[in-house]
Amino acid sequence: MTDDEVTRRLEQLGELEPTPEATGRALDRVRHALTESTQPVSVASSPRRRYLMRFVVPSTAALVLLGGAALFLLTATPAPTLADVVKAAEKYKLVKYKQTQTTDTKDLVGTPTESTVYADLKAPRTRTETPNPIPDFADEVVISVQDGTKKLWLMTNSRRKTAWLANMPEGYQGFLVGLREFQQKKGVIQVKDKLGGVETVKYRLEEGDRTDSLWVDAKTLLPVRYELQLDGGPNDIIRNKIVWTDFEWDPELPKGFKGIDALFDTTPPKGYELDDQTKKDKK
Amino acid sequence: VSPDPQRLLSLLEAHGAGLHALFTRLTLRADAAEDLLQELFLRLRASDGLARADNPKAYLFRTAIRLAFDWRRARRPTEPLLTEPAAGAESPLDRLIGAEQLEQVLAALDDLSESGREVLVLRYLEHQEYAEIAEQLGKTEHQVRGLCSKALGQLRAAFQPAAGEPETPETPETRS
Repeated sequence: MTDDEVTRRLEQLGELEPTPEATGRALDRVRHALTESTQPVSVASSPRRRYLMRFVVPSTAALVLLGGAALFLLTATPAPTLADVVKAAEKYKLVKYKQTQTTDTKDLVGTPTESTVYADLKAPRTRTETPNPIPDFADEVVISVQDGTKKLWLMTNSRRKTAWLANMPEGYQGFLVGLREFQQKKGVIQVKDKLGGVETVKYRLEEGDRTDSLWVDAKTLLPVRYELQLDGGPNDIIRNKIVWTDFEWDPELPKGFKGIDALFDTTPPKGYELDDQTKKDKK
Repeated sequence: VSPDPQRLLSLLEAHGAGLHALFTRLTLRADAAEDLLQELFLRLRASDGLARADNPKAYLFRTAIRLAFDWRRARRPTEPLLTEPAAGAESPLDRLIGAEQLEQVLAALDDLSESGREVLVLRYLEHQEYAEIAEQLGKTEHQVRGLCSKALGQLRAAFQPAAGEPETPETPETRS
């Protein structure tokens, strides 16, 4: 790089401008954080730690939507109850959504890790596909399939060609059961909110070191955003945040899948090296 | 004494967009810029530094520069370049050529002294006049010009090929 190029690169950096939408979103987030009673701290995790933490996600995500004491309505006008939300979701067979997880440690600022999740609305089954964000490992996708009916949990790694099969841990419930339990919990705060120009109702529950927030479309009564924040954790983790967005109800199945059952198949793929924990459990 | 939320919100309205742009320039990532803007204001809320600052704007931007380079150090060297566009598909970022060189310049900036780094960032990335920078850093304009010249020299030196090393890689076309 010549002297002129160094100066030119500096000037180019100075010409970079985020889009107004990106700035608006960032400012909204800070306004929200400053006016919230709680003090969320955004801190970062290493790519490796974030990648490893994905394996914590399926169990925590399966336990989402749990909560605490007496329904407290802040709004004076009647608003949909969570029972209405459950009813609206029950009309569908499958939901697809984007899951973004940020694991924050004491010293590092977190960067989101994204997954695509399919949840069966007729059975406690979930499929989570997480591509590796590091370019050198772009062909690596970790797929986690949890089947609460068969009580099996399969995890595969497309790059290493490895499969891990285990019995489902206790407490796994699936999407709708979690929603029903949230409906029965007390202490949920319900407020009107606007999300991306859409009128929504936000349900929020703070309980100990976890906070659940669910936004539902005021017209369709279907969930449009969900946030779970868990404060604290092992290895200097101070916060773990999971956000679900981009909900699609009864979406098209991905290519190569003939039916919903194929999506949640827990049969280890052929040619993969299998670590079968179910046999070890039996012993 | 921590600043009251209303004051922080006022500062956010006045300087938030500029700080977000600065974070975007220093991280080349939209998600990181958003994270760091929030991190900055949450840190300000938790500390008394802003309350004691004579020049709140200067304090904001200098803290932001430190925060962004802390972030860069924490990520080095595993994070890829521009894996996520800092803005939408039609953003200036997408039109820029030589993203890797931008990253190299940012890495070289990190190796400078803190004052040298601040001067170059405020001068070239924030387009501030020497007099304005001098006021923010509590120095004379003459001192700032000197700092800027020295830091620029160090930055250029970082990109000079080592002795005996060809300035451009030899290819069949350039080989005589």
